[in-house]
Amino acid sequence: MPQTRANPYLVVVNDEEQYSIWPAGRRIPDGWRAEGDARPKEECLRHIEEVWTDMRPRSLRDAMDAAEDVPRNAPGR
Amino acid sequence: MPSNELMSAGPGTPADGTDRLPARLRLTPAQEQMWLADQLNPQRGGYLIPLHLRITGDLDAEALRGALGEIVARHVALRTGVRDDGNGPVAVLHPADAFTLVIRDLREAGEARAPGTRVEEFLSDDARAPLDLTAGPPVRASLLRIAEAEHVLCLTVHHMAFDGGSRDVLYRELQNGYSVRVGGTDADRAVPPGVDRPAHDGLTPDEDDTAADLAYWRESLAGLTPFELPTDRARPPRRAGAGAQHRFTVPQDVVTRLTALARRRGATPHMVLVAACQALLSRWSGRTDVTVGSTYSTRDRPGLDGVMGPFVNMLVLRGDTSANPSFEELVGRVREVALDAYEARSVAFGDLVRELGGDRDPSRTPLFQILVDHVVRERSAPDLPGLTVTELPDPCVGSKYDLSISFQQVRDSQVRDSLDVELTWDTALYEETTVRRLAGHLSALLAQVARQPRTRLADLVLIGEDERRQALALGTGPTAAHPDVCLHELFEAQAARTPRTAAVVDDVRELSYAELDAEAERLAAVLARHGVGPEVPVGIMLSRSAELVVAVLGVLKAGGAYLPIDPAAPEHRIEHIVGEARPVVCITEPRRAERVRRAGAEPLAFSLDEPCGPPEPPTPSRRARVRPGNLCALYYTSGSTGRPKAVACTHRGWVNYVHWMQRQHALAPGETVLHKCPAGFDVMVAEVLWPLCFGGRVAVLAEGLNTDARAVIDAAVRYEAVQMQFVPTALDLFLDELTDDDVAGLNRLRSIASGGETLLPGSVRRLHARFGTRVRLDNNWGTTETSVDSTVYSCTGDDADRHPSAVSIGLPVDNHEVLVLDEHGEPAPLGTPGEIHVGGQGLARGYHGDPARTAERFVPHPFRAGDRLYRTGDQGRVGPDGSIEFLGRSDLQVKIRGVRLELGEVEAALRAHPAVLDAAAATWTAGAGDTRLVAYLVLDPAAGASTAEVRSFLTSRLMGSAMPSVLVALDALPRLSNGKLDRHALPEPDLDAARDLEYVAPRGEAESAVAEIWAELLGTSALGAHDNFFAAGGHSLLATRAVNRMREAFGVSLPLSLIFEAPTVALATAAVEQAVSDEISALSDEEVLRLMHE
Repeated sequence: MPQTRANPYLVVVNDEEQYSIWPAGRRIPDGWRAEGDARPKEECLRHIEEVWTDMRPRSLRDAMDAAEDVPRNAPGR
Repeated sequence: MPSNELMSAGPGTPADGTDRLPARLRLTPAQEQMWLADQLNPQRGGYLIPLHLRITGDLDAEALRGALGEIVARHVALRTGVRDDGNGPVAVLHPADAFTLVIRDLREAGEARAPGTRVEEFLSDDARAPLDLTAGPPVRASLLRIAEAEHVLCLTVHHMAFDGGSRDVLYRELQNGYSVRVGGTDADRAVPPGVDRPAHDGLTPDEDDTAADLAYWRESLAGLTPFELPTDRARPPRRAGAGAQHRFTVPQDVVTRLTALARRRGATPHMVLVAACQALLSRWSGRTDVTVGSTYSTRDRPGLDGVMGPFVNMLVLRGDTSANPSFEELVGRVREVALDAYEARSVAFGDLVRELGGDRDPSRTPLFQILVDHVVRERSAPDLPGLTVTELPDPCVGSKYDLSISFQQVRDSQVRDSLDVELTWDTALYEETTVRRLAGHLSALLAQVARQPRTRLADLVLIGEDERRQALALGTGPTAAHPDVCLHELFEAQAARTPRTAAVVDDVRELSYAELDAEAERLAAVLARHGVGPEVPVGIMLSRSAELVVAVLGVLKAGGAYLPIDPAAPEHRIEHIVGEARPVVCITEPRRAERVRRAGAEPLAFSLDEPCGPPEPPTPSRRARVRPGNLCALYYTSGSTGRPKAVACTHRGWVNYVHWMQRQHALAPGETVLHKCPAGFDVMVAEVLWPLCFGGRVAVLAEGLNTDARAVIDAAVRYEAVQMQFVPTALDLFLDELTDDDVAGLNRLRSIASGGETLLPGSVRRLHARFGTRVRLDNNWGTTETSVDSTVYSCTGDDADRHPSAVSIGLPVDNHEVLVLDEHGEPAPLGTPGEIHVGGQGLARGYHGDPARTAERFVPHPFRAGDRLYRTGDQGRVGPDGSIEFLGRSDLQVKIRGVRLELGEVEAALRAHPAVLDAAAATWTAGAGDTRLVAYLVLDPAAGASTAEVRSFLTSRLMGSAMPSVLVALDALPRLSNGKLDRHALPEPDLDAARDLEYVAPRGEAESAVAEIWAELLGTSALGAHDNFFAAGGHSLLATRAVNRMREAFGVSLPLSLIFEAPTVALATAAVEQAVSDEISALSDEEVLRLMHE
């Protein structure tokens, strides 16, 4: 979708599964990929609220999961 | 100049037709405008046009003299001088034989200097030497003999008599005249008749047109604010006009494509070039209202062919780059603007300036500050028989504008379609490196839009790969390798090394490293039973004490993240924090347990007097493994706007920070750091965790005493602190309180770090006055989101001079990356403001439990794959050495009457006044739609300055839109508990009390005389002592008249620029009195005596 005033942002995510937003139409930096189409900033952020439920970087999450040392009380995100 | 070099100076050849001229001539409006501009131009020679021709071959000097003399005799413009009779300039016609050609021998046989040095010196001096238009014609010429068959013809013509078209006329006639005299190919050609003053100058307007055109200009230039590229140096109150030049060439293929683009869009190449410049200026300035000036030839009117004179006028081209158009679209917009402006050309630029009152600011040129020109010439040099003639590049004779971008094309050039670009800049404003960078960006932009004219402005890549690499290199802090461990592991290793060394001391007890480690371990075991482990937040609501230090280490040892809660915080904030972060447990004093429970958290009562659990041996192996990427703390930022958010700090970021602190301050085991910051501020990392990782002792200042400068000093003396942290306001209080005894007592103090707000040079000066170089002052800048500090500048004694309004924040710290990016995500050109972004090891994980805000502020790193940058919201700019200047918060950008302003800029201007101790600027809504700028000042009572003085000081530093409408003096600015300015608590201004300068009648005879002269010229009744000439309706022409009348009235010679420098009655009178006394002191005793007896 072309960049328009109504749809100025993309949801982007990196290999650590950290989310961010990026102006649509501008080259996406290396190491990041777009998730979904360009949309208004508010919608991007709403989407991120929904999908980014565990804010630990993926490498940390994997290491902790492998060691099974996540305490019971640790909140989901 | 030795006299033997002056070989001859004979009269030129008289020509026919001289006596047909009228006895008295009026200057054409264009001539008058050029003369006036020259009078007001501060740079000598700014309106001279130097023409230098290198002539190789057997030159007939007499033929050349004859040809030139004939040209001057024939063209009235070249003989028209000026006399100023007090009512404005009138033309003086100099005789037909007034022209002389001076021949100088500059052959350098036997000279030690580099060949050509004397020629260059001569040409450069001659280009700047003024032409006396009353005494002689507006042209002079020298022929320099530099070798046997090598000459340079050095012609200097006043802009009053000359333009680009005149150059073509001159070269054509010189070619003919010389050929005739040497019997060349054109020998039989008849001598052309004399060229009279033309019936018009291309500007002579039609009355009806003028009224309509003026209405057009009023409308299209409504609300125009001065345009400028961010300057490298503070703009002087008055233009000096000195300049320098840089040239580059646009390659032929780019020019061909641009020409084709122009044709496709029905535009001229000039319009395309203006669009390119406006796009560039928009990107550099961040403005979408981009105004440039342009000249155009008025020679299209009939009867001007072959006539010399200034047939040029200026057009103001107000560009609009809003809504991110493609370049092609922008060309279309420029085309419309240029056609409309051209349509409305009947108003001469000088008249337009007068009508719109654009000449009241002596620091800038009126209406536009940047000129973009496209000059197409017929030929590059006259073609003289038997000779090779080449034009030397025009020497720079100053800069008439902030910046001129001149695109030059010569039709007979070998590379017909290449464009030479000449950038001339005001050297008082810009560094050469900046203009070279700008030129590089212009070149890149032209090449891009030539190939891809549909590119949107935001997507143009201006910065070259080299420049980007340079910006990244400058923004990257030193690389330092640390063990990849957790904070408590660093502490434990230190405790094993120095178990008996004192680790923490407060008013009640002192614990050694071994004791502290054991207490923390005991607490950690209790916490582990509560389920504390990696990623689990644990509240800490404790007064500042040894217990607090134990609690922090206990949480870290348990693998959790501590969540500091200030016991002094209001209940609703505590409830908010607890409700959002959901700590599994909150460590607190037994007496506060109930309060914690009420706030919604499970209290864990803790006191070193009553151990909270059975002593257990340290058994870290039982607990979950903690990794450097895990959370170590959650800090709620005390954001001045919006709800507070919890920064998810990691061990890795803080481990890097404490190592950098150690490198910066070299703490030795046993040395003391004072812990005094309130709970909830990340400075605790510096005051507690850094010393404990390196064997230092933490001396805890009791709760409530951190705002008591006396208590702080006493504690620092008692505990022999070697390092202290302050916000600038608290530092000032500390310096206020300091006695000589204290200075002597602080004999171990080595360094003080300031952070959190703008450090003012006055504080640096005072600290140096107290401690000399024994105590180093570091100015730190950073955010909790990037692990406390990201940059540091170690102050020196001369910072007050080098940083008049705010101290630099310096360079990135170890393993941090600090980039100033423009709104397009590219590094802002050096010296240009942008938003400060931080990357590197200090980066926090984000905002705890807030993915949306994390995603918004932690953004993809444009240049390092997969990395993130934190957008700080702070504005800054990078200096040539990479050091960063902090320019204030982005959210302090306000709009006053539609003009975007940085409050920080206004505040910096206020603080530059020596009597202003502190300052704040704010907006104030006086009524619906009436937003005004208010300045709050704390004045030094000892300086005895008034707000009125500060106001007049500001007029020389701020543009009109940034001038506060009210200045309010306060005893002190309201502050938050951490010492930062509390913007919400600034009082509403009391308009009556703050009322400005009242009418003050002129005082004394001299002021009355000046006021009377001005009032008469301005057509007003009474002017007061503080009334401003320009505010009362004056403009530059009236100003020169006023100065002429004042010269007569006071019998003293005064500069025409006087009223620009001294625009009020009082100031101008003072300037006149100064001139009178200067003249008297320049007289000899006899002359004074004679005058007194007259």
